[in-house]
Amino acid sequence: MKEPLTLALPKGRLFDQVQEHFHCVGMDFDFSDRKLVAHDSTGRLRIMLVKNSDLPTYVSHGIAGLGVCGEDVVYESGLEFTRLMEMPYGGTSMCLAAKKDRPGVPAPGTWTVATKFTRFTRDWFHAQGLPVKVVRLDGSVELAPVLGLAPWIVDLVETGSTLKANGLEVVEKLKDIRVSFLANPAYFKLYYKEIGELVDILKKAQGLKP
Amino acid sequence: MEKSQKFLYKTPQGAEGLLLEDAYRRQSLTTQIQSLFHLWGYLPVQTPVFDFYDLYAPYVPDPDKAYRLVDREGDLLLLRNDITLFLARALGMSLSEGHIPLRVFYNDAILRHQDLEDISANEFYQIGAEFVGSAGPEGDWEILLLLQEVLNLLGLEKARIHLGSRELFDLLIPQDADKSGIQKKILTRAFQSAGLSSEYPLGREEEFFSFIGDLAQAREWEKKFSDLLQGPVKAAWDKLLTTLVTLEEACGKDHFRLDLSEIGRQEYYTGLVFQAYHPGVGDAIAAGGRYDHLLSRFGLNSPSVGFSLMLKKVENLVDRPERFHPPKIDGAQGKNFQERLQNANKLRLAGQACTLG
Repeated sequence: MKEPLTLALPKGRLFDQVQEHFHCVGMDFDFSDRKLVAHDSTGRLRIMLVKNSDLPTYVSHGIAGLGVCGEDVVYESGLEFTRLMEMPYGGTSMCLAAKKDRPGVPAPGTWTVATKFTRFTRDWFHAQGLPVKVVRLDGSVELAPVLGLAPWIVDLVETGSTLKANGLEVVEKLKDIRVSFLANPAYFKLYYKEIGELVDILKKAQGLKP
Repeated sequence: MEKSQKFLYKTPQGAEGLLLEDAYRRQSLTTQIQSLFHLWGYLPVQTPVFDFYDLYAPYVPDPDKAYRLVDREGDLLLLRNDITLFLARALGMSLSEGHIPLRVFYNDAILRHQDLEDISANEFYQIGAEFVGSAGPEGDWEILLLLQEVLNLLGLEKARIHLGSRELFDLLIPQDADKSGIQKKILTRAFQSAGLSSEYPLGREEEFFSFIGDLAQAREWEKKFSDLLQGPVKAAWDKLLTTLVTLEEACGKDHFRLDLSEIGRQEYYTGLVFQAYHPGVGDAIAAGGRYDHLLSRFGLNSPSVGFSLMLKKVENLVDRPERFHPPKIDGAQGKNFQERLQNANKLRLAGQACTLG
């Protein structure tokens, strides 16, 4: 029997959607009893469950050859991967937000932005020709304008309800963020046939042309 | 905490030393590979650890990852970040066309900065060979067969060498195009991802470089892209296929693959480019190619081809690793130092390692 392909999946909100997607093509797996490694029902995959932000590191070092990950996390990692397909779920938006009663747009040089996505934020502002001071936060970024840490935030927005609850609103959508099925480039080269078959199976579940 | 204590348990990111069995294994691997190079008629060379940065600036695509320093005269120096580059300078300065063809090998460390989260070292140990003055395809074949021999020596049966062509890339992608951007798109194969096409638009020329496969599949690809494969492009394509055929005849079908997404990590490549991959390693274990114009920048107009193997990436993968373990070393017997010395000399004459007790 062939060696299974290795796949890293992120813990958290995305996991259930990925599990359902794979279930639709007859590839079932579960991580009950606090397991972190499992095989799928077809024996095609050895799957490991990792923290979302660690996933690019595992795939980049070839510990897992494949991964499912949001583009936001990939961007922050600064690592390069082979992109196999876009998943039809988990999409969201990277947005600039601020309090509804904020002052007007600041003069250049005075943008202060709180965010988890420091690389993306710095790159986006620089691409607009705007200097920016980035304040790194690891969670509850919406608090930054409310408590006066920074008037602006850059964060992922799905429904906008968290922003609204804190008296914030989207000022501008900066980028659509999609979920990608990706591969370590060296791993892809070694197993391109097997990976190609897997991608075709997953695309069929989406009704896409293999 | 005293200043000296502060640094005692801290090492600069990426720095590492090798001790005892690990150092023995590195040396043993190096010695055996060097012996193989000798058998193929290659002679050793050593390159300087640093040189003037300005000499190499056009060939340092990502200066942020190079280690640079300023010397006492205020000149900017570059720590060796690519042995082929430093070798080209050394050979270009010292040799004339009367010296070529020339076959050389090296084993040296290079320094490149890696990101903080990278678990690999910043100091890479490379061993490799260069065939200077090799104009024709036979030089390409020799270098590839030599690399395959090195992989055989290490017992890396699962390694695969992917062959591509920088020449095809340079012929098909216009000079004024954003080549590094296109290279990135080809590497990430973004065009295969539904929905990503608006962000990563790829033209037909770029899609052509997505091919990985065997000879039969390459023939089908040739038909699909026959409009592109005309004139010099067709000649470069045929040259690549001939290389694959020749290598398969020499080594069998399992070791080499045609992979047009291999277009060379360095801009100085001009023809054949290749990388070797092995299961369990997240990056290429060896890389190389043809660079026909690099030496002329340093004064020697000579085509060349070569490869380097990242030894650190494969030292834990070698087959029958006991071949590279240190032998068991006993102490010589004897009632006093003189007796132990005499017995030790006898054992050493017989080729057996021993200590003086």
